[in-house]
Amino acid sequence: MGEAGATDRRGFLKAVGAGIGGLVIGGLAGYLGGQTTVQPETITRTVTTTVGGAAQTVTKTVTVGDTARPTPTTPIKLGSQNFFTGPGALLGLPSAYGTRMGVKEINDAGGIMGRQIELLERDEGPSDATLREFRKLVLEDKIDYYIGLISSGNTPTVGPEAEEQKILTLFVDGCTDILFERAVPNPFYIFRITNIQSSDAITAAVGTMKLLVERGLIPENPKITGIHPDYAYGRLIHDFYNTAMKKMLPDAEILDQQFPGLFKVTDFSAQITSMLQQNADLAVVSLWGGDYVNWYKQAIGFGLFDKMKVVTTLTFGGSPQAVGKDHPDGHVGGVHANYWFTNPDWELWPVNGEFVKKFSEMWNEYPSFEAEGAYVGMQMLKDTIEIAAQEVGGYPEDEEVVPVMERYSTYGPAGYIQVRKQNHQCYKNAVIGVTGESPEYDFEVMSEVLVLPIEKVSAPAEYPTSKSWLDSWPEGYKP
Amino acid sequence: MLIYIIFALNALLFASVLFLITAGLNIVYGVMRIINLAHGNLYALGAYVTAWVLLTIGYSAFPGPLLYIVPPLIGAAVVGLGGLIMEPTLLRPMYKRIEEFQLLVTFGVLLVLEDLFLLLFGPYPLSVREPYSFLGVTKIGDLSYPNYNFLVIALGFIIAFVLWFFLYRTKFGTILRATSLDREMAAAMGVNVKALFTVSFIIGSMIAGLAGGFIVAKDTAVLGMGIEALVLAFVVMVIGGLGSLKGAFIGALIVGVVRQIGTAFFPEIELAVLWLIAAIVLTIKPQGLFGR
Repeated sequence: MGEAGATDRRGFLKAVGAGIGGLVIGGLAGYLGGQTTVQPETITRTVTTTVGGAAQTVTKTVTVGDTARPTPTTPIKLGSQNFFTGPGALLGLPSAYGTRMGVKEINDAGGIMGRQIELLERDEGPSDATLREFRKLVLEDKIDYYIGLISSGNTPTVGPEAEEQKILTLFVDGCTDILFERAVPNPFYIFRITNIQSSDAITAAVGTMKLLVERGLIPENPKITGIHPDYAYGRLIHDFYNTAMKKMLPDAEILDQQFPGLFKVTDFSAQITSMLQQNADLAVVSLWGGDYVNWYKQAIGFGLFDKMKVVTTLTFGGSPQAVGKDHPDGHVGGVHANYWFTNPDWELWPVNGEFVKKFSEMWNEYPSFEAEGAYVGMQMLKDTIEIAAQEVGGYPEDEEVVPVMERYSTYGPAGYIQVRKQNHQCYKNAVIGVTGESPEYDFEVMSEVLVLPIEKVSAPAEYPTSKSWLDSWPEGYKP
Repeated sequence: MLIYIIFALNALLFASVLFLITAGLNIVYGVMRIINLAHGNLYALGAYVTAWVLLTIGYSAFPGPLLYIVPPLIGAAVVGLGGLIMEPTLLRPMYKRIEEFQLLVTFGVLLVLEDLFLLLFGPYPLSVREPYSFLGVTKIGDLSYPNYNFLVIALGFIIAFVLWFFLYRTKFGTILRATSLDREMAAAMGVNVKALFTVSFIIGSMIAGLAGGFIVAKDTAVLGMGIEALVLAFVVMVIGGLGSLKGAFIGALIVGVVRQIGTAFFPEIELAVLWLIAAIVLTIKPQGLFGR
């Protein structure tokens, strides 16, 4: 799956095959003689490195010498946390499904260097509980690697702990810019797969421009209200989205916006009425999971969708089936700027078609962006461990996997994805679209998908923060 | 100006829901002197069962107004059955023990129910849309207000009236109030206190289940909803007074209005305003506005 992993695959499989054979023989010898070893094999392989965030590659040949280290005979313990319960499960379960599917495929194909993956799943919850479970995974269960997390409230808490515990960690989501700007400004062990949150907000703003303003559906000086969950994610979306809109449309008027607690409110009547009171042209909504389902259901009753256009970051954040056909058409719905299952086109991009087919057969639902991210994360883990193994001549330490991961890029179901070395953040083209119906599906879909090049909606590496990049936009700039 | 009518209706809506949750909690406390921490999840159970009935059997099985009566009543009945099992088996052995035991047992039930919901109904929120949308909206100027919300508001007032009538205009209500004042004396007068406690608990539970059954068409049945409801019910109880039906009614109205004003004018500190009022009442009148 990985670009680097795809190169010289035959030679690589040969090496893995030899490794597995060695494992069996070595395991038997170890059982009889008390020590497990794998005979090293000298091979050469080509490693492709992506440079500077562009689609520019450097190729070098690595020779694996006779300093090989033995592959452990024990299974790989992979810790994972997602929301399995509550309103967050709408996003958490698809992430778990993507992880499990990735694990199953890897195990069915012989594991990572012959090691089967043992998945240890724990619930994600409030920050303190999530951190507690993470520590238990590390200290009691002795996990080797970690993948998961949905909430932006949790990655800035777990991130520093993962660094301290030296656990190679892949965050599927928890996209807040705060993670790599403040909580862990110099990451080593942690990486994040989802597009960064500032890209999410800017994608929503650019989507507003292209799908609503440029089509004359809202004025060029729109009055903008909004509702956001009251924590890192909601506050940052509010800040970045409105800053971007003011840059693009200096005459836009940003009205007071609502901040209900995440998953603490089920009756949004008061908030919806306050939004109606403002006579806005546009409402920006970053509620997600069960909160969004409750909000939109009640907003329909109050006629909010008839009074103004709505742009969201996470209408389609959960399983696609979660949003019913009662959802109003013709508004802008987000997928966290990541992935919508019908895009890229299945025929033009069979990697996606195959992924959707396999996923829906396994789980009886279509994949969300969390599912795609987790699945790609598993491939990323496998590819980078195996490439590092080739480079160091044996099963690699985390410290040896990290440099490989830092230059990793691949083509997943969503398309091209790459890691930026400076902040350990993955980048892929951003997606947003128009809500609508399709005769093929009995739920609301993206009837029109807008794909934005990620470099248009994310800060270049030379900017210290995403906000500093956004602030540098000249007035009237439209990405 | 018309928007303020919507604000007022929202306040009544929220107050109605809060009253329905708190009334049951207050009846149980008033008669049995038990703070039932599982009460929020009895409300959630009503919501889950109602949603499950609607999603499994289908809307068409309940023609006309039956759609708005039968499923919530099934939800309430299941919760009542739960109360019938819970009171004699889990609560009765706790009456003579210190209050901490009662709190621990009811908190345990809350946790067990939360896991039971997960086991039976799965982790995703159960969302039913049709009963809410079928009723349409009322136009207030150029604004809309969902007719289903009127139904919930009406339910709150109807239940308040029925409870008042039941407690103050029937013989059983008189016995109930007498028992809540002096348990030993009531027993000495020949009142079957055990049976009375069971019936009181069932009534309190069923009101919570009924509230959940009606709310689920407007919101969703979701894990954790009972805990949120319980927290707000405690705010109402603190303001209105423990064990007081009138306190539940007035407390719910205060919380409903304050939350509406807070959301409209101080959205940043909406929840803090509620806690502030509760703190003020606790400071000035620790037993609540109508508590004994």
